Amino acid sequence: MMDRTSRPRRERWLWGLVDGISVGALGCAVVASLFLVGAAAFDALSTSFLGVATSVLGTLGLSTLALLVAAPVAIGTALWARWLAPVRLRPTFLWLISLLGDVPPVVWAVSALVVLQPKEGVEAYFLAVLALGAVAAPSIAARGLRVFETVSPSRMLAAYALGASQAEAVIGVVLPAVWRGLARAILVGFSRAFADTVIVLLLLGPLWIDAPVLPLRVVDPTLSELALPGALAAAVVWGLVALAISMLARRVLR
Amino acid sequence: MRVLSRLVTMWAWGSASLTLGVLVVAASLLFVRLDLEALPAMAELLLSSVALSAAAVLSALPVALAIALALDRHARRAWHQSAGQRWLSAFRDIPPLLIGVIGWMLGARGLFGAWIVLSIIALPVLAHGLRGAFGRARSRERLSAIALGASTLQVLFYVVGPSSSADFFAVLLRALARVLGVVAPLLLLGALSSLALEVFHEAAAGRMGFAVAGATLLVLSVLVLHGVAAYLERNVQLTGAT
Repeated sequence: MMDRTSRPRRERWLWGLVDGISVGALGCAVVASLFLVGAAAFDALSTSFLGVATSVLGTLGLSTLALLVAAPVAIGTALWARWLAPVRLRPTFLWLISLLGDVPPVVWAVSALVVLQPKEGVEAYFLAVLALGAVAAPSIAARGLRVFETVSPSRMLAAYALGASQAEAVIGVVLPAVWRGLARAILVGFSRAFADTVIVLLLLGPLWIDAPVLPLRVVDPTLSELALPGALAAAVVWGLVALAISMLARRVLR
Repeated sequence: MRVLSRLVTMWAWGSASLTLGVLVVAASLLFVRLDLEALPAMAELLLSSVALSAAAVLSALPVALAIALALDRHARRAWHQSAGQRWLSAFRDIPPLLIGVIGWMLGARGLFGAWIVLSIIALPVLAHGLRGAFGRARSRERLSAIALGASTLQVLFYVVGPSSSADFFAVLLRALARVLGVVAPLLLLGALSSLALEVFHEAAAGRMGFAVAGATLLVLSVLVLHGVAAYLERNVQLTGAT
């Protein structure tokens, strides 16, 4: 134990350092954001807003299509793993779903290239949709599982006691109780698909370089550098939309 | 109702079968395309990638620790707490490419630039995880220590620290796994010693055997890191229960 007389002074010094570092980190982030927004505004003067807006809409469309593929499969898999899977296999599937969410997106992109071998144009676009769906699905399924675990077993037992089958209990008791949580899980998956860069660069970059999507507007995949001009404006708009989606997921559906 | 329940059962079974089927088909096709001769070169890259990621995570650790401690200390002040958590969540949800763009604009290039940018990417993951780890220390034990006359620093060292040590290492491993898979910012900065970036370049160049070898090593290393982290977390819960 420390000397009692010098303790408060030392502690004040240490806690001051801790608070100083935290406030300093916050300040650095604010200054970096302002610097980026300023540079992007300057950059935006030399580019057309229409191009950036089209790319935002293109990326939103790509992520929405990915979500339409991923969400039903992910929620269905979570439902199966929580309520319908054989009891002995259940922990293995829960573990598998949580592990799949940790696989880096570049691995999904390589898998998509190996499995489906795309050609130019629209085919590459739909391959990107599938790969983005593969990135979003495990995170939706893992969050869906956590949401299903919040349902009290006594509610299910009450439904069984009234003569409901397992599927009827899921429809009548579980789904009405957790729909907000499921909607939030789907939005988080959407934000993950929207923020992903590598899949779009790898699958669309070589095959459809003019595709109206934000990652191709920010990075030139052939030169591995910023696709100037307009890249900074596109990057800032991308970050703002990604933040808005994740804030919507966290706040509105709480 | 009976038809609906049948439909829901079929939907759940169909989704699970589809997921497992896709995984099995993808894994077997990847195994077929795997170039075993590329594995040693990729293993070397994995080592340098782990070293770069570990350096980034360790250099972000002091700042993340300070942020987590500040949030833990101000836990009773609702405004500080919610503002800090909001800032961390927003920081974590920013696409990593955007952080790479900021680094690129500030002149970060090569290995040094990659180290800085990866540290910034690891920072919110670490701070959020450490905040959670400190929060899991039981308030009853904290209050007991304070009642015995311990200062906040002593509570930190003698109560919170020991009870969250395994969680602390689990958070480090998860942050390392996250940083290992980052590609987009490194593409801008031109860091050559990243396995994930090499997988991207090989796949873009059409050398799928090399790309699959790298992707396999990447997946294995990420899964091992997460597996060890999950084991550490579970072990802590078991210790707490007894």
